[in-house]
Amino acid sequence: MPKKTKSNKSEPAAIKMLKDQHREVEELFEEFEGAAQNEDSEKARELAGVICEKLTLHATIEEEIFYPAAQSEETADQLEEAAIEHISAKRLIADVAEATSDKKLKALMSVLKEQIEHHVEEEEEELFPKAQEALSEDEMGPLATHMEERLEELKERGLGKLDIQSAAEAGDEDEEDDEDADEEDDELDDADDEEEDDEESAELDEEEDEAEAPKRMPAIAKKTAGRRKAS
Amino acid sequence: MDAIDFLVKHHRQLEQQLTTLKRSETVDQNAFDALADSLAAHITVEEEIFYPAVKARRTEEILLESLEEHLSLKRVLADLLDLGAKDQKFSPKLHVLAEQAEHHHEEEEEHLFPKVRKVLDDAHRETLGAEMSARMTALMQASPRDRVRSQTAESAALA
Repeated sequence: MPKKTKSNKSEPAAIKMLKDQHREVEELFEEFEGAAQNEDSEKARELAGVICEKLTLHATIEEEIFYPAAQSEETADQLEEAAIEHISAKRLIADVAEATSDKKLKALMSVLKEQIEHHVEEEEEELFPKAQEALSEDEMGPLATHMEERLEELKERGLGKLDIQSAAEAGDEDEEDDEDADEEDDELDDADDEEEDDEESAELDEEEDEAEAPKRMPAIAKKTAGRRKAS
Repeated sequence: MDAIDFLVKHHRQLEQQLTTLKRSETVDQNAFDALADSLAAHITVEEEIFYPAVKARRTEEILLESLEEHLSLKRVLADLLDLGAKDQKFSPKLHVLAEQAEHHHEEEEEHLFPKVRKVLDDAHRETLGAEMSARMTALMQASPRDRVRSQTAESAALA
């Protein structure tokens, strides 16, 4: 969690608004991880959709309003970098929209979360304090209202809405496939349950994990191939 | 050489190249191309040889995440190759590449490699390291960076 910035001026509403949105998304990421951990595919996909929508809206008002307003010699480099990090995140969001399996969704959301955490830290520790210094209260004042109005407008237009429901159906089919897995896979599942305490199952894992033999995970390989065709 | 030692050593080399590039006032396109080749070859060797060889129940999740991080890196790398070192946006983009690469290395070294040590014994890792080293040498002779642009649509499959 980024440190609170020290400043003589009280925190401007615009910066508070952006920080509040950061906190909100961080909490949603936690919720997503919980749902993914519990293999609650439907909930995970719903949360992924909400997170991506919020991120898209947030990035848009920053790019349209906050970043241009904060532009100065002091902030130029950080603003360039911030905009590039937005591009990276948007590409991940586009991938999330097409995630054809729960495993892939989890992997993508994990990368997205880490990139956002990094980006938020840079904004809160470097960019925001500089912007606060650079902008007078008169300049900073109207930004919050401006951003809030734009946010509502964009929301109404449905910007950032992500429909990943059809992918959820593909995910469900995968779950059913798991039940058809052969005995060897059931053993693997048992070994997997002990995974966090590796010592206990070390021997079992050692055997099943023998990575030289790719045939050890036939179900997953088949499923991946299937998803490819389906998508 | 042990496969993990080989990759860790190469991580440090890549980071050093990135740091040098970031620090230079004007980036030399040739120096960047050399970094792009090394990074592209590293990613290819991991995706072709290392990841499939270490795939197991306990590594699958982190491998899938690693493949998405590779995709993110390849996209930034392709952007940089398209921009060219003289472009104004090159420097901030290079910073993002360096940060994403460092983060990815950290995750592999802290989370993936310890698991790999349990999955593969010393002898296997030694053989794997030799295979990776040979493949890396071969790749480096054919401008591996040129292949990156065609690999930005989706993450590599975990073969």
